[in-house]
Amino acid sequence: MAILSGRSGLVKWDPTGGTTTVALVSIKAFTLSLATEKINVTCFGDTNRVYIPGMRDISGTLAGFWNSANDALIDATAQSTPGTLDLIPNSNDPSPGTPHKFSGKAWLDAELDTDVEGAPGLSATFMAAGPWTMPTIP
Amino acid sequence: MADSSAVDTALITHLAADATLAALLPGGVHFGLAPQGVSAFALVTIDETAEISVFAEVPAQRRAIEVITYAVQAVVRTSEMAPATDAAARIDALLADQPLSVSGYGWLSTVRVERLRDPGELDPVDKSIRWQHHGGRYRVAVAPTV
Repeated sequence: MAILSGRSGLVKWDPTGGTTTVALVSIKAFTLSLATEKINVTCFGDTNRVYIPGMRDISGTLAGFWNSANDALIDATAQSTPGTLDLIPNSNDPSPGTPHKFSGKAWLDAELDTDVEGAPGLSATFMAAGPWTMPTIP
Repeated sequence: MADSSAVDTALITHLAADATLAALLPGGVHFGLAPQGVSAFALVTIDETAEISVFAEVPAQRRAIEVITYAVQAVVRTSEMAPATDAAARIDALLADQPLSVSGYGWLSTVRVERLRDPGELDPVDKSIRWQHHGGRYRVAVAPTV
């Protein structure tokens, strides 16, 4: 177990929803949100609000640059069946069971951001389209 | 992995290859420091550099964009402004939004981000001599070819 650099991070995608994921190019950052909704069960007599956990939501973002030689992310937004997304914080992680990856089927939306001052950016949001697996930390 | 100094070389070569600029600045185009004795030349220096990385399975492919800001100035020994001004205009015509051919890189953009003008630096040895500086800061963005 170690704290590792995000420089060796990787985002991989299989548009067919299978396990043959391929690295998305020109991506420089991702976020993954694992937020579980909280249900308000506050009752008469409670001295503060009380919650119980509901269902975990899995979603996140990708960010990078538009690459004119690769339209995988653009194509992903038009799919009628979900693809498989792998989020790998560090592809060189030397600990057992690596690379640790957060993986599952997902729907993707993309956004192109072009500015006269810089390279066109391409970002994406995703949400789960099936059960996700988490890294197994020994 | 691409050699970043190739961008410097490409910029110098691009300017030096222009006959009009050579006529305006017969002392040549120099990087960092001009040789002694030249009185009308172009001086190129690096102001700042930045690099943008992306995720990649091959480490050598992680450097996605390099951005180098150069100060490019016509330096002319004269009390008149016109020679340096004319040369600066030529430099701008050669660089601003003009493609640059760089070995190992794809060119993304060349943008002038600031004008530079010093209308009368006194010669440190002979105070009767003035050096005119005129040019700009040019931001060059390139992407290493994989």
